[in-house]
Amino acid sequence: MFLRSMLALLALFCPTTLMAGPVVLTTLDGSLTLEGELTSYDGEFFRVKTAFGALTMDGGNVLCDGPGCPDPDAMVARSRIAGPAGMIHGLMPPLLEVFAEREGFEYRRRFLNDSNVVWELSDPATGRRLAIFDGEVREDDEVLTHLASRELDIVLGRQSTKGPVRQDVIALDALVPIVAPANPRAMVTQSQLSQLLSGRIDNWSVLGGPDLPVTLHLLEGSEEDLRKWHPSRQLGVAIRHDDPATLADAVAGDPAALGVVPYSMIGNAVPLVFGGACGLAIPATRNTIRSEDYPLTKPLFLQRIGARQPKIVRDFIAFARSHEAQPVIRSVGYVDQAIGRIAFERQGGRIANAVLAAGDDSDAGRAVRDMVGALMNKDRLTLTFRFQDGSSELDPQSASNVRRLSDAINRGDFDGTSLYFVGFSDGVGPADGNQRLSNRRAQSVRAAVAARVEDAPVDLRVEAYGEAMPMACDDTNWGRQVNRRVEVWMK
Amino acid sequence: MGFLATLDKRRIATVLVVLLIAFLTGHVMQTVLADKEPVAAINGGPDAAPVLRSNEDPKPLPTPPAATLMPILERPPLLPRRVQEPMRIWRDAKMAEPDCTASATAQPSPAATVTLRIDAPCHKRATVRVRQGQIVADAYTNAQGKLTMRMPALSETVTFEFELGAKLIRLSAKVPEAPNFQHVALLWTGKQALRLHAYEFGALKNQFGHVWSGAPKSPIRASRGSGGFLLRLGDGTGASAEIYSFPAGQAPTRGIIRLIVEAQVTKENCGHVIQATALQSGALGHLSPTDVEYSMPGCDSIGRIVRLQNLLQDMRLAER
Repeated sequence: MFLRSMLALLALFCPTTLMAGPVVLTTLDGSLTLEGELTSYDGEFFRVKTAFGALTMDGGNVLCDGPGCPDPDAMVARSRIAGPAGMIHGLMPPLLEVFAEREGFEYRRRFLNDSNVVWELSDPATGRRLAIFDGEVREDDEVLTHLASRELDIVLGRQSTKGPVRQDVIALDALVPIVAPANPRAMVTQSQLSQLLSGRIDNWSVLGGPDLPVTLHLLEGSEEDLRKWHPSRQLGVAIRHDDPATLADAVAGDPAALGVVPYSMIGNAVPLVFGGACGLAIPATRNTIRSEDYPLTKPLFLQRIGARQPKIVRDFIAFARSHEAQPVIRSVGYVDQAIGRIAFERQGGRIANAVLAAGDDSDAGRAVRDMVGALMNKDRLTLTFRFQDGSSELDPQSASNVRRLSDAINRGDFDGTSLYFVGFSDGVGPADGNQRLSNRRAQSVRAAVAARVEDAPVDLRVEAYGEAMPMACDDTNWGRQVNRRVEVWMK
Repeated sequence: MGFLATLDKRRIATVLVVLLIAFLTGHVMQTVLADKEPVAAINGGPDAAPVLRSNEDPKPLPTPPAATLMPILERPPLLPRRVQEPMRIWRDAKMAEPDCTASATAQPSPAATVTLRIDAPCHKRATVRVRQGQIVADAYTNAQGKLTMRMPALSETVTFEFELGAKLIRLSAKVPEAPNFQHVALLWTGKQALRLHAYEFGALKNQFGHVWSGAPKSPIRASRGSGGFLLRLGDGTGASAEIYSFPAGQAPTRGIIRLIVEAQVTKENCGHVIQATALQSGALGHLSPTDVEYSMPGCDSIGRIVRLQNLLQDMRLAER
């Protein structure tokens, strides 16, 4: 606390007391010169009162001359970060440590208590501190308000937002029903899962298991999260937990227990596989979460206001969103967004589903045959594009995928290959309409990616197969949403 | 006693002669060796005993496997000052001592641990500061100036340093098993009631997989790959450490081990900021330090135990 208040004092006094005075700022190429009164300097940006009004200049692009100029060496970049415990204590330390290693900085973590931590980056040669990050475990609804009022600089969390806030998906997570390893689990249908959650199924024997009453474990305030699988939102008698780790431990030790936690917090419990009444099920795995085939995938955001962050903080954010950060993100239990490849041979289950779904219908059978013929010599990428409920707008994870895929193409990762944007639809409505719809979606995703690609030797193509390969049953809203997608295949 | 320093595999004859001399001059020492209770034996439990005995029985002094040992080095710049001090003590001492040379050996033991033995006849009941990389602990020699302690080897080639007053002994050992183990350590100085707790694969408090200083488990268990063990170094007055080691390279189980630090509110630390260092394998694959600056609850909470849940991260074994 002492340190935090000292830092607050420093932040209050440094810019005003040290830096009032006339300055002349000249751009490095000499093309522009500005005269004025320096009002603040935060280690990166000069705010100058000039004849044209208040202007902000990036310190990296100008030379400062005059009595009002700050000593750049005396400034330390500072950033206040709030987020859930797993991201503040689990994800941030390795990201900062690897970032520091890459940049040649020294990294130090100072643990104050379970809610507060300070990370420092310094210059190993001089020992001078370059950046201080104050981390705070906070997950309430007000963090975004604090971001807007500049009481926080960076917010990490699951809550998506719009407006002046810039957000990036930095990791993926998912909501997963869990049971103990000792639970004789079989697949349950979504409606059975819903009945388990509401307490209408209160004994495992109803599902063909042993005669054990179901003990339900839930996180405080998880009703909203469960809405997708459990539309009634009515929950049975449950043991409530504040902390997902404690919940997972309680479930892992009790064969009669059922709980719901984020995938990153499964601990020693195991996921309970659930699916639709038609028999299709998608277990939660790294690949199904990366491809968003798993229905309750939750992107984790890094949010900040505008671009006015000190350079070292901007560099860190750029690193956290880069493909180089993906192995770090994966190492601490989150699902990363690295683009993986799944060979056709490893998708036997999906192809079998397509054949079964086609049934005796000869048109459907032909569509499946065409699809298999076109895809059998290609690999599917784990990155998939999906759309927000009832709209043609990409969901946040998919919007982030547009950037990731185009960055990878611009990096040369796909040089000399052909990428196929393959559209699929749900099975509601006539087949030819679905075919056209899936084609239109694939065209629009291809266009979004192509707009960001700079003249790379990659062939971007479009294919569409309508309802030919369902991934989930169409009997639920989330099942249909999983089915409406644009996959990316490569050859 | 300086013969250890000159021990060389290729000069067996010389060694034999030296051993003979050691045997003759070492009669006093033999009584010392009979002392089976080193003052600061830390968890040097029965597991280690067979290894020790087989080495001590035939010879008056433990002979470490030559391949795993490097000669004892003394820090040269400090040497002159040190030579004078023991001489003075020597003159004052009534009992004649043959030699004041301190020696140390490091013997690889089960589960990538190393048994350290110090023999410092002129440093009886003295503090020895032992260092291995970032790990520091204070131990004490017994009435004969001997000390035996056990430490996990944090890497394949480990260097130990012993500070004995102004003397510095440095020694290295090769521990091929070391890369199979993952470690977590908690270090502090002074009278802090800090405890490291590992809950292996969903174990709850006081269940079998709950490893802490009250149930440290043995390195033998770890060498079979069935679980981790904890070594506590230091006696809680000087520099102390608790190190939890798990055979990650050979674990048959997948899952996670929860690591929690507990601190007791005492008369000494209530209302104060306690300082400690936690070491855990970070993203770069080596032990990365975290400075702990924790404000203890006020003195009306004496006796209470606070849990630091987020200081250490779960140890993850194999991925799902």
